[in-house]
Amino acid sequence: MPVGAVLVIGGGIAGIQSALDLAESGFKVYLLEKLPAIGGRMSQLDKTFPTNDCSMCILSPKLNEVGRHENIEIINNAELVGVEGEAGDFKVKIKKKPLYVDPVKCTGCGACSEACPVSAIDEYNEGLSYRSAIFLRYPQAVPKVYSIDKSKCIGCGICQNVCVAKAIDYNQKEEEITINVGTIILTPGGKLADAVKREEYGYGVFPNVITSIQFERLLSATGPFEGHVARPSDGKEPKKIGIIQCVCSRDAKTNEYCSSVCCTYATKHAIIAKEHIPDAEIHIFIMDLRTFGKGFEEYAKRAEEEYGVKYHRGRVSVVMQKKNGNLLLKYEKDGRSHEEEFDLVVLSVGFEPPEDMKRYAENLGINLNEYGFVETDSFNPISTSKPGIYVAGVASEPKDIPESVAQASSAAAKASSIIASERGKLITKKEYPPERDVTGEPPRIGVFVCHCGINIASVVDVERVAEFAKTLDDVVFADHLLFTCSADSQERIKQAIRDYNLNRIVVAACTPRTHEQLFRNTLREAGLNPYLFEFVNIREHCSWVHTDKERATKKAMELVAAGVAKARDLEPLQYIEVDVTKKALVIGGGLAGMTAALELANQGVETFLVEKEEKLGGNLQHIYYTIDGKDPQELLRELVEKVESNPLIKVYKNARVESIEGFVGNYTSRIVTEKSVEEVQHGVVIVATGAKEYKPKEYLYGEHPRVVTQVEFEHMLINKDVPNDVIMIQCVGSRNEERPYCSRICCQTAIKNALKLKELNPDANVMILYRDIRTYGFLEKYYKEAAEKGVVFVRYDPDNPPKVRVEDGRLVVEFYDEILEDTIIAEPEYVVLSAATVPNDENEEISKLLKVPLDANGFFLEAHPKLRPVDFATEGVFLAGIAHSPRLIPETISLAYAAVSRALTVLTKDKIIMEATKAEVVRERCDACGMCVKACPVNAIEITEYETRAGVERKAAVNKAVCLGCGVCSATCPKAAIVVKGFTFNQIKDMVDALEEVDAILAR
Amino acid sequence: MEFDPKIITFACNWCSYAGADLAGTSRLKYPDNVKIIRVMCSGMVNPGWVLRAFRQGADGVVIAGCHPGDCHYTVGNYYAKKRYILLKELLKFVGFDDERFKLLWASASEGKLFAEEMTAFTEKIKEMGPQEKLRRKIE
Amino acid sequence: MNSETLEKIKEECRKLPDDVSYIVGFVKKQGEPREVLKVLKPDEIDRLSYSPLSFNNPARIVMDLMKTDGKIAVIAKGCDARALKQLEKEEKIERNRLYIIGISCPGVIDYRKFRNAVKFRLPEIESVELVGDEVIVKANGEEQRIPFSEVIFENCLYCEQPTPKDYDVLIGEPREGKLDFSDIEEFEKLDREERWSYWMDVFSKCIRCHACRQVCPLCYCEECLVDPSNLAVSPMTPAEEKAAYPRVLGKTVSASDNMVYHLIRVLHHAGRCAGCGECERACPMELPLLKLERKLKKVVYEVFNYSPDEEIPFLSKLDILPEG
Repeated sequence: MPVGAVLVIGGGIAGIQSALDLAESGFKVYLLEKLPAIGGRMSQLDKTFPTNDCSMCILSPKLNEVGRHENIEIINNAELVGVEGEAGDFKVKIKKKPLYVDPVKCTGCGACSEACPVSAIDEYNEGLSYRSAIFLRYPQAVPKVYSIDKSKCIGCGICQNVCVAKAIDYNQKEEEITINVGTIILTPGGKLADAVKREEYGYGVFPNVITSIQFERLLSATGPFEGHVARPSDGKEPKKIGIIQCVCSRDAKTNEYCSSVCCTYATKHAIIAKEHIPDAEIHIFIMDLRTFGKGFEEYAKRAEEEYGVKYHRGRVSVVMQKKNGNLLLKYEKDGRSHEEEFDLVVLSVGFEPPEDMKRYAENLGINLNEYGFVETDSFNPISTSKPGIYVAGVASEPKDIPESVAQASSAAAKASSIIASERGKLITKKEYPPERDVTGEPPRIGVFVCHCGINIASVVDVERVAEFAKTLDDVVFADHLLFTCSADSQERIKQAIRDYNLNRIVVAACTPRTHEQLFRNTLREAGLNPYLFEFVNIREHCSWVHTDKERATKKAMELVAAGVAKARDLEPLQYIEVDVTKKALVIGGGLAGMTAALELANQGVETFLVEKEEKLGGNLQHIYYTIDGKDPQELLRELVEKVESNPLIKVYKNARVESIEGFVGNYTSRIVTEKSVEEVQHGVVIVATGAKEYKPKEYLYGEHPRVVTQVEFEHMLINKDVPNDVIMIQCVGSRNEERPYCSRICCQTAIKNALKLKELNPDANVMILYRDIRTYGFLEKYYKEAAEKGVVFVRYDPDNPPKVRVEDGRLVVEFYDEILEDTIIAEPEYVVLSAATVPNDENEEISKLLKVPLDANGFFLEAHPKLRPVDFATEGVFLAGIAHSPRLIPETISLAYAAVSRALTVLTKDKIIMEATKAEVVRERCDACGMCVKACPVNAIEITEYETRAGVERKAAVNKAVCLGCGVCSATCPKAAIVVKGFTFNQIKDMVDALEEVDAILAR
Repeated sequence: MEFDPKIITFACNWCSYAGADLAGTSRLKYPDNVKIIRVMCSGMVNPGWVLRAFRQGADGVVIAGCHPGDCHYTVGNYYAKKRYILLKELLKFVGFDDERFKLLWASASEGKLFAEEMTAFTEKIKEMGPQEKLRRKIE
Repeated sequence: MNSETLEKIKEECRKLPDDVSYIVGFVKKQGEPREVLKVLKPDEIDRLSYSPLSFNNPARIVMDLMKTDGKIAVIAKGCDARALKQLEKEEKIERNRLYIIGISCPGVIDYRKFRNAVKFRLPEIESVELVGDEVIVKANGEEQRIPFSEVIFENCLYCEQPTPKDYDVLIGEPREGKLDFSDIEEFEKLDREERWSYWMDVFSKCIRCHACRQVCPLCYCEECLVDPSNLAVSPMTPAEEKAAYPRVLGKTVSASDNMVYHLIRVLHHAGRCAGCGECERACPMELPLLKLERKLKKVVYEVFNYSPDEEIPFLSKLDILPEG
């Protein structure tokens, strides 16, 4: 019998996502982390592209979720020793290295670290600062346990003396444990290449040449200079920064592959540096600008146009240092060599496999590829060569956070597939202490004001705000905390609740949109109802948008006063539980839809698959070969057969979804086909509606028969219609005014088809006119191969694009060659256009049907571009495939599994717990006029008869499972007899009053 | 002393509050005169709150919600607009400076727009001077 | 004319279905020439009276009678019928328990104007009749003729529906009404500060007696958002609970606070106001309260194209307006 537990190796963002998905869908998870703290690379990042979200801010809630999840056991500071057994039943030996601190006793107070006399290089800050020998990797670390670096410890014993908790144990020994799991997910991430390998750039020799991750730390508010950008040699603010791309990537000497993320992160570094130093001049030296992900192209355009970042196409040959510490860069551009001086040089280093990858491979018995990453198959991008072991994130190929997160969810789906029968067997349910009954108690409010490091404290005087809070009525306790979201602060809040018998909590920190849940749980853990909590945003809405410290502090006080005013009237609310219909609706029967349906069925979920065409397959029907020589048609046949024969999948062809009503766990949809109209019940929806190839208006397409798209060209080649002379034009309909995004797949498609043509006709002339060749990751080798096989690549400038015309029936292409500095006129047999991938027309309709948003380009907009790539903000609705954004087959498959994994977190529960913020009728005031009933957008209200002492009375009543808590009813009701708790008439009115009363309070 | 207006913005949780968050994460500056009160939907904003705000001395009041068609609850913002028009027309009718009352559509991705609109509105209110008409008279 | 109308009313009342338990109609007020509303039993038909001074709106009484069993017959002018219809939309009145005796109404007399115009002492007046364009008042064997236009209740001039749209039996020939907001448009031509001082003058007189709300057939809320003195409290109600009642205003009576009170009051009437004018008649300070109601009505009709015949109450109706 398989084991209902999973081992996740690596506690970075991928491992965290896999662990959370699995734990939420009924499996015990062991999360193995080699460092004392989870968080991985993402914990070191200052911001994340392309939204410039604060990295720690979006990661920290996830860290805490893992830290407090009852089904996840973090095994930190440990390494894998050996694995026995096979898929479904592995015995894993793990070596736990000593922390020299008892994690149970340590409170994370940090007294030991302050007292420690040792000064050692701080790895978290990439060697740019120092830490003590007993240390915490970073302030928000989970688990929040200090550990001793024995290689640096001098054994003085001071820490043991200062530790009040008696947590320090110098004699702790290494320990070996064995755990039993059904499947394993490998998410060890990657390491950054050692820039010393490119000695011509002077890294490690010239102090002002730093790596991108060091720069990231420099930019960070929690970094070595608290966010003030200073160069290492003299601490001066750099005014001219040079960023060199492809350091140890796309490089014959080190790594041939492209690291995929550096172009966009360098763009991010440039934007953030400009925000820190508005008059700085920033130059990025690129080979090709590879901003291919969702929203990345627009991001780079903004960097160039709004921030004045300069991109140079040219490889830097050497960096030299001047006496004043400045650096001279020599580079080639437009066939000439240039020299330019910079204050600071940043090397955008690429990814390499993690150091212990070989050991993992040996222990786990899996294959690595030619570059030392985990070998995967493009049709099985999550599976390793060994059954039961899966891989996600950078370990299999360099990739960014959203792709890693999507793969991590995918891996969770795959890892649970073969142990699905054991779901729920090894988990425990988190028990909260019984809720204290606060009815009848006068409000006793606790206020906690957050420094958020320096994010808030550098502008708002948080200590004064806390002092001010103490003067407000009913506030019995107020404090200020460095990071209110950190584990030790949470403990302090809980302690204060107990010590001061608090019954309302106000936290003034960041935005409730990311952190509300965390604090609500803190209240629950302290025995308070989670809704006795009010969040005040003094970061996004105050310290980050204002500069005048005095005024910002005053505004923070006003906001706190308003929060306290609202908190007074908070009432305990109960979460709402609803049953789950354990069935799924998948819209779209292409690769993503079929993959999702099949995986859902594999996990025992009955699935309705709706396809608008008469055949399943979508775009996959038009792909005949892949760049790595696989057969998509075989994949298609296999998928269609499996889907159509699976008893749990009901396929509707020539069909559309006419209506979807209901809410997470309980949807009812009408599926209309030519023959029937059927109403089905399901708990979740997966949107996999795909996208399509753009029909170009450019370059005589549709006017001349020998101007074709790549899809049409592929069809020609497969039918042995093999021309001798072809010019391909890239970015047709992409990266322009109308469609600012990059279609991601066209560069590889052009090279794929060029190589195919060369294979069929080695003498054929193929020229590719491009703007940037975006063969990211391991695709780079095909770019190289194509060049070696004689495919000619010529770059064109978007301001001077190629011209296609017909002269006497002959196709003529005219373009400017930047290297030859000349206009070239060619007469190819065919012009092949790499046309954009554009969203389907039905997206709009589906968006309205499901009440989910589209992005500016018409693709579906996920809940969060970084950490929730396949979720919608609407619960129970998920996104898969190229309806999200253009992507390749393996990436599409990965999103499909990811959507399934996320859907399973709903479908595997008997009941889901819903937010309690719902409309409620104040019966004494209601006189059943019914105005709310007719105004409710979701028909959640009806007039009901109640037996009262006075007889039968008619009053409005709310169906809380249907109610969304929008409050349209409450504003329609003339007497405020229907209210949304937390947003009642009086609460908001009191906030309005409080905002205006601060002056009076301050004058008291 | 320079006139320092008080502006209250009721912002819906899903679009405008998130847009204000984005203005924050993007470090886009706007006047600190603006104080945001989070509501779940612009459709829950009670005209009574708006009048109360003016009575308590607000110099300007903004209701900010999702663009038409984008409402998280599909139609809440249409109700917001309906009530907005009714109150605005009444305020105009009684001779109140109805320009002090504004409806704004700002999405979660429009941090820039949010900051710009708040800046422009504050400037306008500054030009208009203090709101005395509905301010509670303290006897 | 009204003696004729009264005879027809009585005739119809005698023919009422057997299940009618109450008749809501007008009876003569002691010592005054006008009528007041009264709930009568079917055997009290002889007490009924009717004249252009039968201006009150019976809708609220009908609503209260819905708590009893049996059918109710009601004598309803155009505005009364609109109020009944609105209460029906709000599920306060069951139409099938109602027997509407509709009156095609030429307009009612403004009692204040009448008192000023009439030369007799009120208790002496024997009859008031509308004949053609003239009101004929008889007392002490004398007769006074007053042009109707001099004493007509102003709002009747703008009545869009003098004949009830919905009735079981109609008395009188149907009359055409029309939508006319010329008075509002005229007022809107004033500049902002003129408008403000007009209303400040009006509301500085308001004593917040709440009579306007008390008589309004649509202000049936047992407690009012803008009136702290009207809470449904008993001696048992704890202080915190009283404090928790929603309210916009305190007890202050400054002109601007009075304005807020009236703005909220009329906002709650958007698309609901029947235009019966009970509020103005009840106002001891003689404030022009219908002006605000009519302004809102103009918005409701012109911006939202709302028709009072629609089944969904205006405030509950979803309106998707074109942008701009």
